[in-house]
Amino acid sequence: MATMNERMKDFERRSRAAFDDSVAALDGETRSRLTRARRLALAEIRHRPMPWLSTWLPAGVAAAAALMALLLWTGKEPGSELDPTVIALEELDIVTAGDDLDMLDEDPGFYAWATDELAGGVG
Amino acid sequence: MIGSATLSLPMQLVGSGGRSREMAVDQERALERFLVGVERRAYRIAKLSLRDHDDALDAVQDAMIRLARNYAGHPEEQWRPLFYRILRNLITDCHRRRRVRQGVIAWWPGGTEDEAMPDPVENAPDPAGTPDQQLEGGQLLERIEQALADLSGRQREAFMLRNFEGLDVAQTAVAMGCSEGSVKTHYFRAVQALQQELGEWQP
Repeated sequence: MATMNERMKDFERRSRAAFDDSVAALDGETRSRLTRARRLALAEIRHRPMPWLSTWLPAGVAAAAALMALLLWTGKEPGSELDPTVIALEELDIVTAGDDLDMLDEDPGFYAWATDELAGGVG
Repeated sequence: MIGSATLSLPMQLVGSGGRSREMAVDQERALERFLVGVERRAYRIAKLSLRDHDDALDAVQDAMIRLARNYAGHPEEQWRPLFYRILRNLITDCHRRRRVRQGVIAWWPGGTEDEAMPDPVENAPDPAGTPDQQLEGGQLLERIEQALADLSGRQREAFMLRNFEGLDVAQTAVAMGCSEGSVKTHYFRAVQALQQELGEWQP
């Protein structure tokens, strides 16, 4: 006399065996359609963007959007306001340029006259 | 120094892309192995649930595509319960669409009840042969299929996933979207009901 548990185990085993047999006996048309379905599913992986691209692309887009928002908010383009160090370097160029100082030697009388005229005009 | 730093970035990206491509190929091979191993059993389970060849194939194909699209990056050991969870949802959707369609046909003027109602002669058990003879071999599954149709949806799912597909209780719980305790209850009641239905077959 089989116990309830034994009957249950036997039922499970025999029903599973019948299921396995039906899987093994699938017809060619069904197997072929399942193969096509599998290929379609695998094509999904092939056509996905590369993982590193999908990771970095949104980050790049977000960074670009943040920069654009910052520019719009401040209303200034980068470099539109002169840097004091840049101005100092340009002045240094003028002071150290030999040509600009040489012109003083060419016509000293003119510069003396111009200085007197300016002083008289002001006075 | 600047030059080498400038050059090293694209090389890193190329290297990273190459590794990613190799990983994608490995992932595709692993997924193919998984699908080859599961597709026929999944079709039989879908067929037992839907009792329609084309609907079962469509459900399995959709489940494969959704798994590849959304869960290919998950650890392999999660694929089976996830796959059956997707398949279960698709089967439920298919049953729901059928009910709506049957409701519309029954309500629609000119719609015949023959189209909406199952044929009792077609669904009647085969009277030929003794119960023992019927339950042997391929006929056993036909009897089980008919008995499964009388179970509740949850009991049927628990029985097929646990006994036919061999998922453990935890995996079945993931696939069914319920607790492990519910899986045990549904499974036990399913086996009891099936044994009672197929009582003549008991040794």
